[in-house]
Amino acid sequence: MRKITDEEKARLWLNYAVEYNVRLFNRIAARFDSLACAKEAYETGDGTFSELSGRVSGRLSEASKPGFLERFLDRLEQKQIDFTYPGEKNYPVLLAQLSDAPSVLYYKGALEPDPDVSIAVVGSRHPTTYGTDTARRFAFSLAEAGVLIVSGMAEGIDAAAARGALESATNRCRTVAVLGCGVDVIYPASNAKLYREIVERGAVVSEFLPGSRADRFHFPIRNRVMSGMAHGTLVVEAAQRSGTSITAGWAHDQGRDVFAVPGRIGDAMSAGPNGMLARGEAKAVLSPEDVLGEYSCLHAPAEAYLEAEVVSLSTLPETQRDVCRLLKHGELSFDELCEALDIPIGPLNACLTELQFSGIVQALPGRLYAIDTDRVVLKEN
Amino acid sequence: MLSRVKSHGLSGIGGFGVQVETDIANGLPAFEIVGLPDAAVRESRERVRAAIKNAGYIFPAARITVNLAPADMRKEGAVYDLPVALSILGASGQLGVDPKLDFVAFGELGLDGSVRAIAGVLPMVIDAFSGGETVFAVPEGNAGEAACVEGVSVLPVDSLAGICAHIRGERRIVPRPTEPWQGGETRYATDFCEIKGQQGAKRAAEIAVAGGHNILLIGTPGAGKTMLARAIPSILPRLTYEEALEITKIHSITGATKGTGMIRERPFRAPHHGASSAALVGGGTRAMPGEISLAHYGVLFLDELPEFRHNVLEALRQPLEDGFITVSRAAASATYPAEFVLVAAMNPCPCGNYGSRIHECRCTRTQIERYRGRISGPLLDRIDIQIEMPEVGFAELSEKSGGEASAAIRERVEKARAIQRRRFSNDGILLNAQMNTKLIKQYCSPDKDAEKLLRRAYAELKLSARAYQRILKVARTIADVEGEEQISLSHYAEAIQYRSLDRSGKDA
Repeated sequence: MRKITDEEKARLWLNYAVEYNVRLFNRIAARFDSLACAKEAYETGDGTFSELSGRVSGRLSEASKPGFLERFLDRLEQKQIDFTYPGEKNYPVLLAQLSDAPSVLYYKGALEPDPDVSIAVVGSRHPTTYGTDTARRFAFSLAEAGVLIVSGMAEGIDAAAARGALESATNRCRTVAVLGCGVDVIYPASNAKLYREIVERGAVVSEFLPGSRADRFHFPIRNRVMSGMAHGTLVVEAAQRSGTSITAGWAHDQGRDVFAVPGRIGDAMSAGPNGMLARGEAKAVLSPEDVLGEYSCLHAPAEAYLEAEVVSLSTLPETQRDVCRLLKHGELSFDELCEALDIPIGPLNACLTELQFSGIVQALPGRLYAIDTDRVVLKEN
Repeated sequence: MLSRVKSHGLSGIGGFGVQVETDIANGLPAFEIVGLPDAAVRESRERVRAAIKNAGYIFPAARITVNLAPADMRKEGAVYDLPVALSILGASGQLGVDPKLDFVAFGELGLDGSVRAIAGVLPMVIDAFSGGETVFAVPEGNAGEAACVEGVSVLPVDSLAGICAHIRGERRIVPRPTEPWQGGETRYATDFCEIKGQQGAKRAAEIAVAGGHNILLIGTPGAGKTMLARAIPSILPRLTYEEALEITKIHSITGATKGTGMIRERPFRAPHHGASSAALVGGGTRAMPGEISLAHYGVLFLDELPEFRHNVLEALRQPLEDGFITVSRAAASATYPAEFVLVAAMNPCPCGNYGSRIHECRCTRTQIERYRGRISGPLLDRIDIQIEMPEVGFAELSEKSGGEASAAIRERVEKARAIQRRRFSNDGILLNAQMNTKLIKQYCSPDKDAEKLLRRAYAELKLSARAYQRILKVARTIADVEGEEQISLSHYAEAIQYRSLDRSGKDA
């Protein structure tokens, strides 16, 4: 571990006391020449600290106990948690531009402070299959082009985006997950595997003290860091009023770009992005290239997610061809296929199994079937 | 003076002959019943005393001893009221000189001398009939079920006075004619043609019934799982006389057949998910049959399968395998048959909307996994067919015709079952679902192409190893339903579609 200066110690000391309250931190810091001075002043009983609320002054006295900071630093080292702050070399440049940039940012993994382009991918925790597919595809293509993908490691769109970024083979990509809890806390627990992969190939960051639980009110605070770390925020699927709209709002306030992937009207999960597009709050993007086009510093063409195989319908047996033609217009349930095709159920079942095996059709929950557009492109002849 | 009346006792669905002997001696007036009577039998003293008096006879003021032989078997219930009363009247000479008591009698007495229906008449009649008895005096309310045994003469008894008049030759009771078997019921409350849409699930149900496979229906609320399950008895083969007799026997023990005759419909039992394991497999101090035995030769429907208590579901495993259940209690032990088609239903997730296109699912992945994990692997192993039922749209509900009627499907099922009977004539089983590993190897060894297909199923759909044999069995049944000797590639391909739960790991 690197050498910790007295100034840094004083910063951790004050950060421990005020927690994520950046304004309070800055107000106190502004009264003194340096943070080390502030700590000294507290120890000599300076009047500045007497006006603080009970909770903060309690934490201040706790942090000032002899040996406390040393133990705190030991714990960070044990858990391999690093920290950075505005002005330090690892602190994200974009984040430092904010007036309320976190006074200390804890992280695990390796941070890339100044990426050419970074995009935050945000969206619902209960997306549709279309949503997760889209998020994954966009994140993969953007990461391939060298974009840093920022996500929140929640379930749904966030996790899908992080997975997409991790699938990218190029090592220059790193992905960052901004947590609403301490960096050593895995929330939700189901993302444990993803968490480990992100720490290995990118970084998880948080302004909350290590060990903090994921409290509800943390997430809106966290969201400003997500948008603040990114040049642009990409909204994939979200309900009308949701955490996603808060993040997009932060991006606006911070003067960053907002992109949205349009969805079907009437779908609950498309109401968020479609609403933003209708109100002119976001730029519509239909492909990863549309995002890249905004940032001319990048010329590398976005590569296709996976090499999709071109399947010509005329090579398929008749039943399979009919099924594919129907599914081309969107997913259908088994019953709907049955109704539309007028072939016995036995052969239809068999035909679907074969289409699944050739990778053309995928089965979705609820006995729905859809063309696997990631793997195949259908052509009439 | 001594008199004897024949009666019968019940243990499980079998029975034992009982002799009711009465001795009237001089001494202080007393009335004792000996021979392991339970509380209900001992109480019969009061009923008998009042009934004799109110039927216009005299209760002898002497020392009366009634013995229920054999003395080492426990006698239960109010079955012996009637024989005890007749025996006392006989012993006191009120039925004439040397009365003809050559019938087997059961029945509960009312204080006014009327005779009330009891539970368990049919199994007792069958048991006594096989022991050589042919004439039975049974309560009028039980005459219907007793008369379905061919060859017996049933005297329906409405009151103590009535049977006494019969014995004394004053007014003969006309024996109830035995009801000739008219074949199993063909019309059920719910018919397949009433179910709109769900062609895929209906086909799966047909295959399940044809091969005796258990089936699990997975679908959003309102997809029609319960309705489909209710219609399944209507596509089971028509009941034979032997099957109907066995069903009626079991239901008779619980007293469900009072006042009715032979059961001619396949039973449909749908216990609530709060049921205890004793309620499901049988129990109680008298080792009574549970829901699985009441569903014998019919359908046991477990709605909301994951909501059933763990130990309850585990208790199902052994009878699912063996087709019978032995209920052992301190006081009694009984073996009941339990051959049924298990139809289970569940939502795809705790909120029920997973996979729905109309409603949003609010469950997390962990919640869904935990919900599905409540059904243990060994139980799932015994369910060959798992099918997802898509939600039914408004258009389907309003426009579509229901499709085939149950009668047409039943015909195919009966044909497929006949093929299986022929095939297994030397193997001691009747249905494809009962095949063991050896028989599977013998009757459904996949050829090279099918082997390739199944191997791809492993890789592509991430099927589990235990799904393999299920697919082979189901493919065999599909071929039987289609009337084909060889299992073709498309039969295997269709069978693979019936493994919904094995597959669901993929879309996480």
